[in-house]
Amino acid sequence: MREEMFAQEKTIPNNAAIYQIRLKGTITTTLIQMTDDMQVRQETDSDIISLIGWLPDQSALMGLLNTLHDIHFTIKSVQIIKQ
Amino acid sequence: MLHTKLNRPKISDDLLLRPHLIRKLEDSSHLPLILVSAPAGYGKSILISQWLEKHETKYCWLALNQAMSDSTLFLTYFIESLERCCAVNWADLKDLAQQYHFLAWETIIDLIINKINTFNEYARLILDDYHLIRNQEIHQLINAILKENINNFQLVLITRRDPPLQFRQLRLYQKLLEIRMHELRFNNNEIGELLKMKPTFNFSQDEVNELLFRAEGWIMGIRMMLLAKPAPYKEGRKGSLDYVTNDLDILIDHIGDNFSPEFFRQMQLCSLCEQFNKELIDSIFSFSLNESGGANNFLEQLIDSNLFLIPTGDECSWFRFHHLFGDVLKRRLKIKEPKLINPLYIHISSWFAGKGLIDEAIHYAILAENYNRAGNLIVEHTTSKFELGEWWVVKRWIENIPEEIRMSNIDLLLIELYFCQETYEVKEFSFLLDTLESVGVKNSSKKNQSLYLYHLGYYLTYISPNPEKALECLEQSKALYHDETGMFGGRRELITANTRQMLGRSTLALKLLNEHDKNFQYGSVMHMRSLHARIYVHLQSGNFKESEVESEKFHFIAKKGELKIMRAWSLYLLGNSAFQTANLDKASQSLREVISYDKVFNYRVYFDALAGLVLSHSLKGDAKEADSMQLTMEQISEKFKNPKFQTYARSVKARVNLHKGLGKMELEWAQMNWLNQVQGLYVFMMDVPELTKIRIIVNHGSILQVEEALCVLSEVEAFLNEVHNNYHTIEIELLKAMALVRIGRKEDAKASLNKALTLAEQNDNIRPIIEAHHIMPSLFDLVNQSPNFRRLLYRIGLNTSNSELPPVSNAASDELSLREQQVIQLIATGLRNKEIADELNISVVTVKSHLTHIYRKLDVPNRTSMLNKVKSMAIFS
Repeated sequence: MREEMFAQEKTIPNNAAIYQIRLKGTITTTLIQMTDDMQVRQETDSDIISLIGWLPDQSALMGLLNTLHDIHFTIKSVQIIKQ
Repeated sequence: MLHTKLNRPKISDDLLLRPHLIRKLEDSSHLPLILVSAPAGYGKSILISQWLEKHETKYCWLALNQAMSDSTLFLTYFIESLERCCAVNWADLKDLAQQYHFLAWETIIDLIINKINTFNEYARLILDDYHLIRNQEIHQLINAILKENINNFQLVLITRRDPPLQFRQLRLYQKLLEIRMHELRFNNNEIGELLKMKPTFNFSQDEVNELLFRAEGWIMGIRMMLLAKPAPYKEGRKGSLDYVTNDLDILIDHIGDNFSPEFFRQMQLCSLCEQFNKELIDSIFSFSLNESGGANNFLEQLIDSNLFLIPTGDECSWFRFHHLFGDVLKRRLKIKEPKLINPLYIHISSWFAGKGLIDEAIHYAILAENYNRAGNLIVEHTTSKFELGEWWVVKRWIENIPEEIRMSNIDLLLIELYFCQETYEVKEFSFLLDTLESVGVKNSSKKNQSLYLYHLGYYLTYISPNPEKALECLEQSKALYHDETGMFGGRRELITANTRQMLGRSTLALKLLNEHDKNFQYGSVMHMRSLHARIYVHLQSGNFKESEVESEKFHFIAKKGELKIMRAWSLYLLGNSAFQTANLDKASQSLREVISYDKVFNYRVYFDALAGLVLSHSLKGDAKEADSMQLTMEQISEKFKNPKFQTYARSVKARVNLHKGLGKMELEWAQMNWLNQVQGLYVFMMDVPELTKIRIIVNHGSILQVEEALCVLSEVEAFLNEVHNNYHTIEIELLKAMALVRIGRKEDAKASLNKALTLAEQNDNIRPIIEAHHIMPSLFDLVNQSPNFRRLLYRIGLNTSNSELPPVSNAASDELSLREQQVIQLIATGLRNKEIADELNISVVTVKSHLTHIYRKLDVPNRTSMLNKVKSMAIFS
């Protein structure tokens, strides 16, 4: 039991992965400029923006999340789509 | 500026070399960017430092901190570090931090990139802790540099997380090396080697495996676990290394158990400083431990135990803890001794203040949340920074203080008003004045009340003119507090004289300035400000002869002095006065000199100097020079954030075209907002765009517009008269005359022209006449019948349509007297001296004397040259 817990805690995925980040709001020029090579898409009929793209590791992810925070977007969810 | 920020962290010899990574870096040393991105404690900075130590390329290391997220502070350090890593002279970009407030950010980026492009040797700049930068402008700058593809320059960014830069292109074209966490992790072999280097670490293989498994190659965690090693076992928790990598606080307490409690506490105390040296440590120890001289031992032990100490200064004089380690130490201290923290921060602040490192002193006062202290430090050092012209440094200091504190601190609000005077943020000005009143400035110290009244006086003089009230404020201010600094007392005298003039009390203003002068040394700031004031009074009263004489005097004193700002002002005022008296060579010469003072003073005035220079050339008939200067002015204006600077350039262009007879082209521009006339914009500017618009309308607008222009001119005249501003009087009178001619009211036009010419002759304000003659020569046909005016026009070199001029007798000047003209006429008919003497009934000696005078006045050596010159001057047709 204990071992399992550690196994879960331990492995932070530090390899490249495709992430989906969902934000609240509508797409702006700043957002597009700041997200470099992520795909940016407004979800149909909603105020949710979906960013999908490959990130080399979680330092890159953290950088992106911080940037999104700096330009005042609410982050709804972060998901690894494919590792 | 703390130069330790510009040092590469030194590496101690117990660090493991990582040849495969260093090779990788070396193989990529030609790429424009190396990005090292991983969380804290993965040995990023150490790796780069090890790499740099092995290679000879010129580089500079810039250790960023949170404060450098401010554009101006970043620019200061960035420029300094670029200068260190190349052999290019950066003198011209040293004041970009000040320029920042005026120039568009794109312009600043261009300036920097152009400079980097001139590097003739390979250079490398390392920006450490780039994640601390959260300022879009800075990212934009770095992006622009990367896009530029500069051959001779490499950036190395060390960061805990990826910055928002455009990596896609760089990745696509393989112009980027990324070193990330998975590569920075220490592998089994490396850990093995590390353990071998430290034979004191006694680990069983199982423990090593456990260590590796838990720490996942995180070197910081591994080293902390090694340092804490015996602890968990002491407590009988064998095998429980597992929790430690994510609970650094407990880990650090275990590390503490391995050292004496005194030593561990000393470490925690030092962790409050971002950087420390021996002297600072001693000071901290004597403050909080009541002991002195312990710094040496402490530092030795710290270095011996290799407790995440990073040397940052030259010759190992300054150190810091690894950020992560330092943060945990600090956190432990805050939990254990919360009451100690703020007093200690204040102590550190005083230590830095004592060393003259004011930025740091303010930073620690703010950390201590002692904003009073921070405010006092700012107030204390404001005057010296202002005298150096570095007001933007003070602006940065103030911006670090939370807004709600700033808005309730009278001292700081008063300082902020100076920034408004420098940047002309009109809205901000009245907001600050209101805020000051609401926070009770009127019940504060005499000095503060006096400063408030001074700023209010400034506001009521230039921004929302009400000279009567302004004078009242200024006089009260002076009565409350005596000051002899250039920025307060000196400026106050200047503005006071100005308001008196605005109230029509020029004579009194000048008299009081004379009395004021007696109290101050010749050439002192106060004396110069008073000369400055006198010229303002003359210029605004329209006494251009006097203003020219006084400006000469001011310039003579200022050019010997050290204050650049005074030199710049003296040249501008001299140029302006000479422009008005149509001494155009002198005007262009002085104003050209002003150009080199672009960073020193008032940009509105700077642009006016540029305008004056273009117009002087244009009026002299030097179209080529005028066009080239106009282009320069336009290019300069494009660099500015505020569009009003482009308007200044646009207006001058229109006026030059008007001189060339191309005014019609400018009609479209002139028709925009031309009815919107504001008094404050006029003062004593050589070019006022609003007035230039009227010039164009009067000459090229429809008849309806011309009639409207007459009304606008009367309005302008009225509001200028209200404040006794006579700088533009003749100009306006001439424009009225032109307008009246265009709508066929010749008699009224003639009256206006008569008035203008009379005034022009009285005040020596010749330039408007010359300009009007350029624009509408036929206007002067109206006064053709008046010998006096024809003489005036002739004297200033303007041809009237009738060639025969009444002879003029004016012995004192360089003009030929009646007798001399007769002598020339007779010589022209071929008579000799004796014959001339007979003809005029004078002696030969007298004829010779006349000739001597004529030669001197015409600057010729003999008769033949004299006759040639006379012919060319077409005096006798």
